[in-house]
Amino acid sequence: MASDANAVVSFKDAFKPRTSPPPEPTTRTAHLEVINVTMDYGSFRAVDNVSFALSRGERLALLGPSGCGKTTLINVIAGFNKHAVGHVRINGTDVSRRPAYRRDIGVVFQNYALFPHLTVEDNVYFGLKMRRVSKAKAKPAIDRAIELVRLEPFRGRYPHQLSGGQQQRAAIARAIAIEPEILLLDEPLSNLDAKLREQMRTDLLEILDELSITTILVTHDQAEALALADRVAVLNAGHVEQIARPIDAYENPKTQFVAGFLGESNAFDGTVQHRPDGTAAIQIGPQELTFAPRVEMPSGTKARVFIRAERLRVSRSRLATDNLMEARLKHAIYLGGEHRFVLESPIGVLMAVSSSESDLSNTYKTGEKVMVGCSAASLIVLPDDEG
Amino acid sequence: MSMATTAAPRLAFLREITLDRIITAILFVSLAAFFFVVLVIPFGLLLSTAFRQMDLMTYQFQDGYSFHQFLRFFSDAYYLRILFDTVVLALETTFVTLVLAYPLALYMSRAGVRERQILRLLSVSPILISIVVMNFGWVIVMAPQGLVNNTLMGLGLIDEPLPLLYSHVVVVLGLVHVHLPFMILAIDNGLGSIQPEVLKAAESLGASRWKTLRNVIWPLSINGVVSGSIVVFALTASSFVTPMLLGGAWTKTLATVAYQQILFTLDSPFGAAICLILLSVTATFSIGLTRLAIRLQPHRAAPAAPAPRP
Repeated sequence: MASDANAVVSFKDAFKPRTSPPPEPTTRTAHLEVINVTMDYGSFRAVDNVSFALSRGERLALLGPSGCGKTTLINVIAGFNKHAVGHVRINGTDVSRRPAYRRDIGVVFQNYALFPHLTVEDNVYFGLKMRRVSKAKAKPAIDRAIELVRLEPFRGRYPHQLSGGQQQRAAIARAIAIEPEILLLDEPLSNLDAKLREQMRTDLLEILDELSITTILVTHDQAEALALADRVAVLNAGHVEQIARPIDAYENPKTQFVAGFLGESNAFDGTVQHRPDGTAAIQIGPQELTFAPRVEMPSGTKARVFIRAERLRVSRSRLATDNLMEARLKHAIYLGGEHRFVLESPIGVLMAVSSSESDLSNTYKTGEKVMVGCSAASLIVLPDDEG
Repeated sequence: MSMATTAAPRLAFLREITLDRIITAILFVSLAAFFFVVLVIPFGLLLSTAFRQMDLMTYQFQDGYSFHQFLRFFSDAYYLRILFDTVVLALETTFVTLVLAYPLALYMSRAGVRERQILRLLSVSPILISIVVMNFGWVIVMAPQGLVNNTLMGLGLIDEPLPLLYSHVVVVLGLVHVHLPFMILAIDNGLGSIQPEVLKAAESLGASRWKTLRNVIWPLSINGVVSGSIVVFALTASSFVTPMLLGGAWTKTLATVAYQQILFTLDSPFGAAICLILLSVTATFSIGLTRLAIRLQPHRAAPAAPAPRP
């Protein structure tokens, strides 16, 4: 017991600033491993055979729509959910049967869950108190955590005397003061209003960069996931669709779900055709769109094409691009920093966003005829599932 | 023209009279009238009576007001003993009720929705039965020929009935039985306001179940414990049905003595004085406990968030 207590006060390098994302884990170097975790609520499968691994110091975002199982999954990792099947390993040790209070995992809850009867300082001290560290001995750790989240002026305040953003930071300080093996953040920004969320996202990134704690972040907000994580795991209906670096997940989605979930896309169903000249096209109604295949698809494959709104170019004159269509402006919405277009094109209604400098001074009128185009490389074509 | 302009400001208040305000006024006045009739007037009568003296030959109030009845009470060891016994009885009952109610309320607060509803209904069910019926239940159980004595004698464990009824323990038992629902409801209410995530947070920070109870659940439930204790103490200290039925002639409390003074001795000034003393006992306990609760929970006294500093 005594050695445990010492281990907590000792410097675990948790507060060492992180310079770059650590390399992806191998089976030998993994810090956290989630192995074949499945969780049923009655006949509903909330988590379906999920496996992934993180290396020490890595940050992963679990991203998915509500009800995709992401919160259940972190409850399993934290040890709050005792009925899950599968294994959770930390540093190679199976902790699946360990109660939450012996897992050494810091959790930041969506509603912050600060202890209302304790000051900020005592909230942060709580974890160390439970490890039988005296307040005097814990002081450096408390100070460091509070400093990191910049709450020094508020350390004597009670939670109800703090703003939402301050409560959020206090919750982070409380979770990291114990220098946990793993830090879990459940929808950390969802309780803040839109303007504060932008600010806190940057703040959170700064805080996380000051730490070397292996972190899992749960969110339904892709901006949060892409901005904060080294890798993103996109979850759908309890299973992992894809785990990849943010840029890979966005630019190179492996499934139709990921392609549709990340970014703002126009999706159309069509049939793949290989042309004699070696290029590939997808036939959507009367229109053919040239694309650069990313996966093997023979001619005749039923597929779905995703066209990202920001990759569409809208112009009054002809454009030099692989795919060009005539379209009519159904709505032209000017938002200051960008134009948003709703276009009627031969393949259907298209959403387009333009924020190029040359375009921002133009004014567009509803009903106007324009040209809309996109490059072959920007099209994401993914085959429909068999059956 | 000039008439209209001068009349408008004087009649402006008429526009302020809306149906909403009329209804609010009616409701307020009727509630105030109700409390005036059932609370203020009787209390005023009690207060004025307590400072009178009764001529016990003629049953007429004597002239003048004095502290005679209070001096009489506090200079008589017999009455001081009853005051002491009443406070002890109320404290004992409050303590036993608290010890029994807390674990039950704790279990209820962690149970599923359905189980919780059933338990809540069961725990308040004693309120649906008359106190007299509940007390007579204990008479049947504890009487010389009652359930307990007959069973023990039938088993050959005792030769003659134990004097269970009309004992101090049975009075406490009866009072606990009657007042347990109030304590359970108060604590359950306090525990229900704790967010489940707060308990999860404690667990994730290394608190075992016991440590979570000690460091989080208990401090956050103090308000419920305090309000439950105040209600049970006040009801027990002023109860007289249970001490009379289960305590017999030997158990005297302030309430039973006041009852006897007013209805049998017909010394209503002394009875009124005892009532006021009883009232100040429960008031002192309530105020003391409330102050203690505030001291134990500094966060409740802390003002809400001031404007954020730059």
